[in-house]
Amino acid sequence: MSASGWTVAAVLASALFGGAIPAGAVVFGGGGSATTDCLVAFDAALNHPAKKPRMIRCADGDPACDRDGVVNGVCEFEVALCANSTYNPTRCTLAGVQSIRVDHAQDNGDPKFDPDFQALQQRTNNEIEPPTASADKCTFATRIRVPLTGPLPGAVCKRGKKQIRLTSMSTFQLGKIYKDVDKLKLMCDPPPSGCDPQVLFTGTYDRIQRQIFNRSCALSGCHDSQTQAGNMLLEQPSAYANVVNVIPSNFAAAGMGWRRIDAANAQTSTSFLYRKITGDFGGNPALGARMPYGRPKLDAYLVDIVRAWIAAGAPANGWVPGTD
Amino acid sequence: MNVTRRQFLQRTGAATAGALLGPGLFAHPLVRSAMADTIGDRYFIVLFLDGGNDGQNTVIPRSNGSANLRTLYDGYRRTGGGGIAVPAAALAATAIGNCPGTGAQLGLHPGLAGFGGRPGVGGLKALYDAGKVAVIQGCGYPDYSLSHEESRVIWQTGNPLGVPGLTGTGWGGRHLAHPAYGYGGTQVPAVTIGSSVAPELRQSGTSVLAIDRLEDFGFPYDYDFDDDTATKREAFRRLHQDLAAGDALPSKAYLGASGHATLVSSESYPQLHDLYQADRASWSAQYDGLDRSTGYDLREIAKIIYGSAQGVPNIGARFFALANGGYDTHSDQGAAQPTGQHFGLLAEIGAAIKIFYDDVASMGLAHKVCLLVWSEFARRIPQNDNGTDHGSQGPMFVVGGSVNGGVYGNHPDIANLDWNENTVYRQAPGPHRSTDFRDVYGTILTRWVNMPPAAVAADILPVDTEGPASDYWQTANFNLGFLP
Repeated sequence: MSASGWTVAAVLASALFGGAIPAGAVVFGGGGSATTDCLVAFDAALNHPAKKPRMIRCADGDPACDRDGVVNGVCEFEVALCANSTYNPTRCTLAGVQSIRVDHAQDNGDPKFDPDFQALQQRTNNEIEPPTASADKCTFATRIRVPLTGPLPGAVCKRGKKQIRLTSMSTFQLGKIYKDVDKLKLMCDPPPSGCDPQVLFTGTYDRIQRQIFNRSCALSGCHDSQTQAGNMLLEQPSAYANVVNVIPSNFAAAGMGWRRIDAANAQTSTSFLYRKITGDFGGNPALGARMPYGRPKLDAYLVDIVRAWIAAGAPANGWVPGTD
Repeated sequence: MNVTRRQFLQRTGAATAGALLGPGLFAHPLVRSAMADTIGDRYFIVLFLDGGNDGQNTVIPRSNGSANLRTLYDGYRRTGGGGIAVPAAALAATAIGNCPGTGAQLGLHPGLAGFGGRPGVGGLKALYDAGKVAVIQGCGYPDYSLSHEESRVIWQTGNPLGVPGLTGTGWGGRHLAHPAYGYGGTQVPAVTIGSSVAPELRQSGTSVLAIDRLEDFGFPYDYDFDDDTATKREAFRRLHQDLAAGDALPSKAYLGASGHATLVSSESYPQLHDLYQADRASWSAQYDGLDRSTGYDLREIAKIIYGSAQGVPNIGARFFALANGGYDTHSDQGAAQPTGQHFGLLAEIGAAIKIFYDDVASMGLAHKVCLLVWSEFARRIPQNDNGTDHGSQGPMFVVGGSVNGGVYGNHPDIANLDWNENTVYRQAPGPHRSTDFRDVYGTILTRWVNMPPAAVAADILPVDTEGPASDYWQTANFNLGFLP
């Protein structure tokens, strides 16, 4: 054990969940005062930095740390939480968690809402069920997916990152209520083989779904199933049937005979979705705002991919030349 | 820990909306008297699975039947990394009956058989085998909403079309407030286990308590300064008694009656905890061994039922509501493995219901208890990366000693999805005719609570008045067959 009590080899599986912790896992307080850090601790295969690991860093597809084990543009990390951890019994003796809150876990329009954080929060609520004073009460591991940034033009990717942030409050003990804020950084590095879109995606539409719709459109408060802004759902696997040759809800666009994606005519000028992402409304205010709403424009190379896809008749499968 | 004064008042049914329903057909004193007795010493419990339970992974086809159900299921849901498909082989131990419409053999998610190594083993599956569980498939309503809030309100009010007279009141609440039953403001016919009154019990004719834990429920006396305890109590009592007795404003009279009911209850209900712990310690330990909130919440209901049956005074609750959250499994849902998120959720309710059923059975009361399980929607059939998005129709469960166990209602038609990749609710006859959730409520109201079907149709659950009869619920069926 390091002097600061950062990490300790995990032998602390809860009696209820014996064997749930993946091989190589370590218990990590998550940072903050050593006297409160055991209130809630992470239980994960930390590997970075090597000397005193307090985060997970992995190359996409590396079977040692990417749980899906394949080059697919996403690293999957397994993270469990433990309440009232006994990993550092000399410095931290708190026993009693009143609440554990995972940031960005509420599907309430939060632009940073992440369904993986929601899953972690739900597991915490159901498997730890605060308030609890039980020692080393742990969840099973939740899979947190971290996508690479890209692929950018030239089959290049950049590191993708997510940070889990927890705020935990203790029950009233030793005369006060204690607060423990914990963070765990997860990093997904590009695979050594590079970021060929033909490897990461199954086709042009798959790329549009995963690189554009999933990351910029099917978000909380927008085109997700809870909100369906403009009566349009852009989640996998509904999005294709929601856009291709579908009449827009916008009356002005519908009145002009446009479609969300005008695949039948292979025309971007009559494809409302394309007009929305380019902001090309010809001065007609009835066509509404540019998308993504209130966020930066999509990168030009992504707009080019959508344009080429429409011009090719918006196929559901296969690669349109120039989109890989 | 005592509740605060504000919580104390909030936890009565006073904070409700909606007008009292007219006396209608059943104003005759003799009819009223007969109806008021009908629920008698029976108990009804509503368990809400909050977040949208994945019905397609709760009641799962093991075989194709006439509609290719298993093959279609396997096409939509993957195995392997991130896959959520429950293999047909994994359903061998949890097989139940056949789908009435298609003949496909069905299985319950293995989680519903409970956790290995914890109390409640066998779970809902064991109760099904004992003939005590009705599995009602394909429950939904026309033009489904994918919003948690909207759909929850629709199920709780029993009002998909937003009929003005039904908004603001719950379907169970409208029953409690029905003049034919004569529950007054000073009575407490229902209890929610939680910090606020369950919306399905909302109304403004009688009182509903919201109690987290019986042992913590009490008047907010200050025990550090207990000289004036009696004075405080008397002041509270007189304030509400005066309101109840003397004020011409119905809302004030209701607040007074409700406050009075809460005060009396705060002195009666906590005793039930001590009585249960003293008499039924080994049963209490079962819930402790499960160590899940649904079990703990059901134990509170078991305490009330036990105390009520033992004749503890001022215990009139016959209706109960509780909820368990976490069913919004967009991500990391899992398949049949015990580490999966959905497995854990279903194992929790499966085991908790089993312990609760066995508990009331050992009291000799299983035949007097009926429990309904529902969720605001199911989930889309095709999976996303490693979870599922909001969907339409799903199964409901009715559990009880008097229930005619078996499979009711048809599996949703997963061969013909709409443009959102969801199953379509239809009332047209055929192997995929959907079950309207109001038919389930209506069956309970008419067969368990013994409310006349005409009163249910007139005042509690009027049928839809728009759209084609092939799509909309225009012919109520308040006898689905799962209650005698």
